[in-house]
Amino acid sequence: MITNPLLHRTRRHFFEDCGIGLGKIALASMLAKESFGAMGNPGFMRFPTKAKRVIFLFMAGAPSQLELFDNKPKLAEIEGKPIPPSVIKGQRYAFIQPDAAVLGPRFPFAKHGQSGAELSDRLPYLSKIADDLTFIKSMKTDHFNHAPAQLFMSTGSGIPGRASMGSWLSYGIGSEADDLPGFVVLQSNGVLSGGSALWGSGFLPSEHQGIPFRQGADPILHVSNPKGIDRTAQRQTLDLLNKLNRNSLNRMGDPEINARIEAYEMAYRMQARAPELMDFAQESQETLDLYGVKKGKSDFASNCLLARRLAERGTRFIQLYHAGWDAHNDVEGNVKNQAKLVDQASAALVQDLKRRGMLDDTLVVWGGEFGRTPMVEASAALNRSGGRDHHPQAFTMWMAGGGIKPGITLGQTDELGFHVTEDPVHVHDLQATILQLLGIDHTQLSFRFQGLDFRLTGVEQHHAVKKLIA
Amino acid sequence: MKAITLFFAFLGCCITCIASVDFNQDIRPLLASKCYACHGPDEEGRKAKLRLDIREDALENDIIVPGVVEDSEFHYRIRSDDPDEIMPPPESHASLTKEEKDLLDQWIAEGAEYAKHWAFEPPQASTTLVNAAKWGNNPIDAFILKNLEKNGLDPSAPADPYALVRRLYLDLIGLPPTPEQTDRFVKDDRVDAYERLVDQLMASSHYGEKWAREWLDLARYADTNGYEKDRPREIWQYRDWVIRALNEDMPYDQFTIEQLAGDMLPGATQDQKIATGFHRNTQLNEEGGIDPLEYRFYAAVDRVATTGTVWMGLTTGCAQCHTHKYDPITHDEYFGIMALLDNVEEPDLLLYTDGQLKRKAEVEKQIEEKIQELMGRHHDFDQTFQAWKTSLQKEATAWNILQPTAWKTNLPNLESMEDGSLFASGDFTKRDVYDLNFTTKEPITALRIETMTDERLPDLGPGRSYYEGRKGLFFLSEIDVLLNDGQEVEIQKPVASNGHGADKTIDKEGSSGWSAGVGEEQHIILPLAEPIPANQSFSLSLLFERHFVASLGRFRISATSASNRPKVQKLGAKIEDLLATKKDLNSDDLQLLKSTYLEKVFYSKKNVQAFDGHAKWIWDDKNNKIKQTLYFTKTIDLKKKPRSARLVYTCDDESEFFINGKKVASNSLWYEPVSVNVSSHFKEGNNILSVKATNNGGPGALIAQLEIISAEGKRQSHVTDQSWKFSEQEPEGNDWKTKGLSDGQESTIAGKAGDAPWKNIPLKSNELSELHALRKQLPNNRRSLVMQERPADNPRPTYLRHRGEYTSPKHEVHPKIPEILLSKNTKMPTNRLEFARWLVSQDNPIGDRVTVNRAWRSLFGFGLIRTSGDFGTQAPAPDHPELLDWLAVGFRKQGMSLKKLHRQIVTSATYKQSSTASPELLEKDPQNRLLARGPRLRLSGELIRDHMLHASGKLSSKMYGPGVYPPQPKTVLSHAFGNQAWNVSKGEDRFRRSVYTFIKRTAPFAGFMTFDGTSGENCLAKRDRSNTPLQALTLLNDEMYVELAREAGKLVHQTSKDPVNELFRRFLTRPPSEEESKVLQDYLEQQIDRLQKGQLKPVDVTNDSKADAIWAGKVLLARAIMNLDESITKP
Repeated sequence: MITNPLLHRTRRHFFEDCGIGLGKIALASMLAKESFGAMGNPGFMRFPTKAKRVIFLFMAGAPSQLELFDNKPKLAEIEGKPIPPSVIKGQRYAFIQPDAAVLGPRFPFAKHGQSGAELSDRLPYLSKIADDLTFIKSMKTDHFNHAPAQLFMSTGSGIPGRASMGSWLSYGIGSEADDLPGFVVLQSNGVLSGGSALWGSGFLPSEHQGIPFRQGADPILHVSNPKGIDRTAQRQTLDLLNKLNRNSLNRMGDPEINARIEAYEMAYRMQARAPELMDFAQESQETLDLYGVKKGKSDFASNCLLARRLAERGTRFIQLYHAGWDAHNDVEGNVKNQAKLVDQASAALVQDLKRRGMLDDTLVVWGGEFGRTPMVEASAALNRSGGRDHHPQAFTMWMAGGGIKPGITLGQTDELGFHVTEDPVHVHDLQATILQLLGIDHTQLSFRFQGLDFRLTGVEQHHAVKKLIA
Repeated sequence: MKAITLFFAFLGCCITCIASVDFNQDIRPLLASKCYACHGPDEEGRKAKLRLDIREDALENDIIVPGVVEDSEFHYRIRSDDPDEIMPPPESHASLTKEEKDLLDQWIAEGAEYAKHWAFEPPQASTTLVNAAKWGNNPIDAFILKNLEKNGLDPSAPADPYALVRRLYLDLIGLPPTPEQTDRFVKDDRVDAYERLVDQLMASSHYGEKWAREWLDLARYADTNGYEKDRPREIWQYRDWVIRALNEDMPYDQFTIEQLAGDMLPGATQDQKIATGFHRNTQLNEEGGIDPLEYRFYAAVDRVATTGTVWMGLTTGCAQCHTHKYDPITHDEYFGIMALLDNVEEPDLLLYTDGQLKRKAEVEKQIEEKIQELMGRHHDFDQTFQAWKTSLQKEATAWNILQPTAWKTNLPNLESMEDGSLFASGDFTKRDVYDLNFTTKEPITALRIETMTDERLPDLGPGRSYYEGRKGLFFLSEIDVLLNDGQEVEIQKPVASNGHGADKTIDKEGSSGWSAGVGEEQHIILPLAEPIPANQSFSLSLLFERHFVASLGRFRISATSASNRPKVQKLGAKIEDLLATKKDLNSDDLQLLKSTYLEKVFYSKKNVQAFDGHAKWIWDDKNNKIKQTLYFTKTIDLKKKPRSARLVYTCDDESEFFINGKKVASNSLWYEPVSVNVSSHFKEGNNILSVKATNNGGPGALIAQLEIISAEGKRQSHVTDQSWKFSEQEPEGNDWKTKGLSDGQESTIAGKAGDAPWKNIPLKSNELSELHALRKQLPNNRRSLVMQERPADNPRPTYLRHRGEYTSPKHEVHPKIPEILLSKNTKMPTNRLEFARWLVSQDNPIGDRVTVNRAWRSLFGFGLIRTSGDFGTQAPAPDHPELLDWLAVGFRKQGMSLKKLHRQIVTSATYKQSSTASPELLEKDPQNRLLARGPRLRLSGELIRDHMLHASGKLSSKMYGPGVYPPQPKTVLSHAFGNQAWNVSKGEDRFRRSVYTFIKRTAPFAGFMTFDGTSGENCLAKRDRSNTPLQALTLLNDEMYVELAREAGKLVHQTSKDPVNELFRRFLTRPPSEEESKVLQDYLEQQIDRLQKGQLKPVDVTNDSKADAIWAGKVLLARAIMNLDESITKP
């Protein structure tokens, strides 16, 4: 409890860096609650707030758009032939030569819903809610390797050490939760190329970094009491600490002491909140079945359900990483297996949010760091066949809820699925769009570090995609 | 452009009304932040051809008319109501406040004078204040007092001695004083007690450990490569170098020059080379499929930015993409700095300590002697060597080294070495091509490519792979031989001495090829279908293509005219050449041939004849009888017919050996064991081994060893021992040979293999392993990542990159420093060493200010200029400009000694003030910029851990060495690629100072990161000091801290009668007040009560089954005290 308004003001890191921008007044992700209420409308909040929170389903490894969303019958026609040189001029690839032979789509496609969105038969659940979804078939990125491209999607830069989108939001608009982190990271199906830099706070104050939830009893590091110490002992210890720290505060006058007292109290609340959050027994069997959650199993389905529970409890940004899409070999098998792991729960999350009335102000984003080549990847030396290499030039993502126009498909690719031909959406455009849905002007939310005014969306001209916004 | 109005709003409450405006202080920051983006140095972004950063330009067209506000267009534009006219334009969101507009008008009215940005002028020490010692004993205090008085503030009282001693210990050595050390200081009433303590702490080796951690933040030091794979790297030698240099108080100019260009110093020492690790701390992407040069470029970008931050106080990063919008650094000049830094190779330096070098020489000598001795042990060595040599000489192919007449590559640099080989350096790609041209006098029937090792190559080579694949690997994809008329020469079935895929080098398929071991020299032979005629020119083209760099680093081409198809020599090309030479071999060559023969041939032949030490010499008894013949049998049971079997045996003196009645071997010289393949003689079920053995005189005995590989592939060994049955009389008929001697006597063991008198019989387990054991004693070298200037004939060109993008190179840029930093007398640096020297020279106007400002920030929490890395025009004016300059000048005068600088600051009255913040002070100067009180700051994550280790009595004093792994939850690494385990260190390594903790970039130590630690991804000039619930959870619940609470509780339980006082003082330094004692005592009793009632279990709390409630209560007390705000704070 802050009693002295003077202490309240000064304890912020507010003035620590002169000229660093308004965001500094945003509170720590975990201490903050509707942080701009007290400060008035900051300069970067220039749009109506349509989404209050984001759940980003990051398909790490890069799913094949050609097996899921972007139907290219032409590829089947010319399968085995090389791509025309005019198309592949100047392209760089990770493993293959650009003149490798074309590989036709491995699965049949069909149209769904009133929107007529075309999806492959690997996505039966998403097909059923096609009208709630918004597809962007014209995504483009700057990077063709996993770590940099994942970093680029998550932080706006291919180099580790920049601030992630969740950190920007925590820094800019704080959190709605006062007993859970404002930026949570969940993972399934293996580790990530980009590593912990994907949710790092970079140059932003480190309290804005994403908090990875961990497997097992302690979802948040050290949230359980150590062996031998019960909740009573913890409370008694906190009472002691509060008493002595308050003495110090009176003696020294340092407002940081007050912040410390608050932090300890919040930690204590978090200790109570975490087990409640993780307790799926509160969910009906019907809900568990909707997601396909299996008791005691930690996977993408359980993470989707957990994401909804976090969203309900005020977490601002929930980043789910699901790895395993890197189909250098046997793209057919890869998509078959991976779609089975994510299709149902992805659709369930959208449906569940919708029926709880949360979809309107919760933005769901689904996609990987880049796409996959229309050309086949095959290499005797690497024992690969029937795969697809990394393809930064064109890929598909979808979004739902949170002020996005539902039931539309934006953008087109050429008949080979190689280049975007209509409405290109650069990763920075996507990021600008997400920020705008949250009310933020991406050009105005910045932070000075090493003399540069860093933004999530970089220095080049990028724009929120108006066509996507309802 | 970004609004920074708040900053100025804040300045308003600090800087009181201005009598006359100062351009540097008041105007430039305004113009820089509001106007320069469109009207500044950047030509590309400039609007209306108007430039406001240069006075002459601003005065043109009456934009600004000095002294006449009303005539100045500028005045109207900043005050216009018309959205089309007003400046800055509304869409820039950079609007000016009324106060700012007034200020600008005042400036015009006063003559619109410009001044060079203060930071670009050399520092001048003001002398006016230095002697005005109204307060304190140090000129620092005079500067601070002047500012305080100006703002109507008084300095605070001195801190009490407990706070002071804690502050000093934590600042200088990063550890709290023990209660004894505290008392010693508090009771020391000598006038110079404080200065004595300062000197004592400066002399502690902990000083270097504490200050190194801060330098390592700047150096972005880590123990792994970063990015996806994030594999370990060896560069801790650099970290240790920093600690040593700081402890030795190496002058800062030397400290700098060695880190940036130690390799270029004349006669550079190993340490000076290690120091260049500074700029090797960049990240390395090892992901397969990357463009390696793209990531090299990113590293170069990082080096420019880091150098700018650390030594130039300039944020050069802006100019990566375009000309700096605020500071006068052009896009071109940015790449000029890159060119100064980027002419480098990036090898792993092989390191031996002096002791290791000595040891290495010793062991090498012993190996040499051992080889001589082994040769001498065998009476037949010379004879068999000669026989071997003669037979091989006959079939050896004569190869002539071919020196290329010319060569061409896509990018790498080839250099011709004395031995006729080529060494490749410089830049490599995923697809490198070496085109070599030759002219031959002799006809050529086959070509040979030798792959060679070299200390300069990754892991000795022979390949150039340095990421993704194993270091030192090569992958030769395609080989083409063309005559000078363009006609292709067909290669027939290439063969290689080792490795895989020799035949794939001619399959026209780039993705397949030949690769062989790392650290080995191998060769591939290319027989030609049709000989290349004499006096012909031809080319040899080598393609290296992989999803990572895999080109050869050193190799040699030879040719032969031999009409026979040449064979590969498994012993290596060098041996082949020695065997083929017609000349007499010199003694070194002969020695090489002999020792190779000994190890690779003699013993491998002997090996099959040798016993492994289990076989026993057997006989009827230990007495020797002349002309005695004995008949031995042994039955062995085999479940299946074996896959193979080999018998090694001999007898003193002669014998015949039968298997299932069939004679398989005989011997007549006991010292030459017989080795025979007996695979075909065995059957399923019982098999009978039988020997007729005769002693002709002297000792008599039989020894045999049968090695069987079963059908399943299992190895079993049967040896002579006492279970062999014998008979002294020849059994009747041949029955005994097929049925065995079931009623025979048991043998007596006369000795085991290797015993006298038969010790000359070769034993696998002895002779070669004696040699191998010696080889194992060769000291393991270390490596450290270093910089090395490129050879003069192969400089790396630096290109300006459009928008800073790697894929958009434009024109070449030559090394230079930005013009704004040049003074009249500056000699323009042309290389890294000259650049380093310039950075720490008096000619660099900013460098010394950056350094002293950094020291100030470390001690006070904030710099004299707040933006530690940025002294450019957009940076706020310093809080205490005169003090900053005075310190900078003094620093240089005092020989650039960091210790002297630190001493100067910590002995000031300013530093020694109490940090108590009265409501009045908080109101007037919430951030303590004016320093009317002492610094009070939370410790860094590393220092918190060190503090707790020390206070609980567990801190190890061990210094230096590879990174260690203190305990942390396993889940921290579960997110890291490859899931490498965090193998928690044992023994004292668990409790080392935090500067030695292994830093894994993708999973940095959680206990530090929670407290704003760094993962070494960026140069970090300043750490945050956040205050979060996760920190509370860490201190309360992290096993690492719980363990230390247990240790502290146990310690005071065993040693102290007053646990409250003892623990309080260990963690907080000062004694508790009466009230605090009581509150803590109550808590202790409350917990003991619960423990006694069984509500808590002592064994769980203490993790010790011997613990009782009182002991456990003290553990809980220690844990509580560790969590007090004061425990993690510098008072």
